[in-house]
Amino acid sequence: MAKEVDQEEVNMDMTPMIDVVFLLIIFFILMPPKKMEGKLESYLPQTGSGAASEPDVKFYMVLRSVVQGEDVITTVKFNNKRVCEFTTLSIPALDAIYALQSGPGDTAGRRAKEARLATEHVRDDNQFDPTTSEKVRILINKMVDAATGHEKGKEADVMIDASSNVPFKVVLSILNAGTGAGFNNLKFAAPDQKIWNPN
Amino acid sequence: MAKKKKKVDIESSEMDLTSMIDVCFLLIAFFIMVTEVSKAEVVEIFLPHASHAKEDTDPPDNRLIVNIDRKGEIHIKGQNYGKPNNKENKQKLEIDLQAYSEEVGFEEEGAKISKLTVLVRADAHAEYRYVQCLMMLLSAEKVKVQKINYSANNPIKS
Repeated sequence: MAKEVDQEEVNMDMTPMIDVVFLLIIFFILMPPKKMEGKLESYLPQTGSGAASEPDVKFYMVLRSVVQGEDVITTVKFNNKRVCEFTTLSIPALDAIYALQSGPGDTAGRRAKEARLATEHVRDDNQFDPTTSEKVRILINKMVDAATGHEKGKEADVMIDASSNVPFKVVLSILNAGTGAGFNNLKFAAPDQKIWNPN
Repeated sequence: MAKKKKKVDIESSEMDLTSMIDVCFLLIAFFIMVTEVSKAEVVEIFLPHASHAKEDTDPPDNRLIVNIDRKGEIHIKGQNYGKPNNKENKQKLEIDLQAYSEEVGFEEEGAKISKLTVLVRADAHAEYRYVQCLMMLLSAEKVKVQKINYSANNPIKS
């Protein structure tokens, strides 16, 4: 009789442990890898009826891109004065990088692709990060200087006008610089707004 | 003999309950995790870095997440709309964005402005023209979104 009870207890012990183990396995399989994904705030221009249609923009940030071989050169003008240029990879060059991975099972290709993208990212961080890039620091200083001479200060609107061939990360880095400079009203220009002076 | 049978019955019913609770917990955990994952509505995208990106704490319930991949194709709630500069895709997007905006409602203060906020997760390598197309659609008369947020990875805080 005593022997029977013992056996039963041993059996009972195992079941919840297995259950808990399964639970943990499922938990860790489904848990997405933690990444710090942040956001930058901006506004869309309100056109048409209402008070918001008044164009009281005082600062213009203009971005234009030119393709040069494998690179795209983007010129940044702030209030019609050229501030800096950013170099990024052109779309054909990027396509070539993405073509390194021929399929989902191609691990060697995937590694090569990721390595190329990582070097590209290092170059971007050196260009776009305000803590490492001299260009962005100059840009932020110019924005702050312009704001101190303005009645609205950093509440003034900054209109970002980029041409359609500018890589998105350049636009975002400008948004980042504007946020870093403390501006609260960063807006995007509609493509048909003629605020670009070619000279 | 009859007594013994009764004892076995009680024991077996107890055993049933434990495993059922275990399975229930498993299912609860599974569904919680699955809904958590699907809530993100995320397409694989290579986000740009931005050191001044704010942490995305308590996002509004009525926020729309729009993904733009490297080729410029737009994904909303798991649906691929294709490139927004194609006329057909544009019309489809127009209709759906209008529906999302009307679902949330408008603020009736002077200018008609939607209460909808939009989070754009655009790939770092996408061309700006696709983002521009999306913004044009969002600021259209019948959609009237004003607040737009851009996702970025923050290299400092990660």
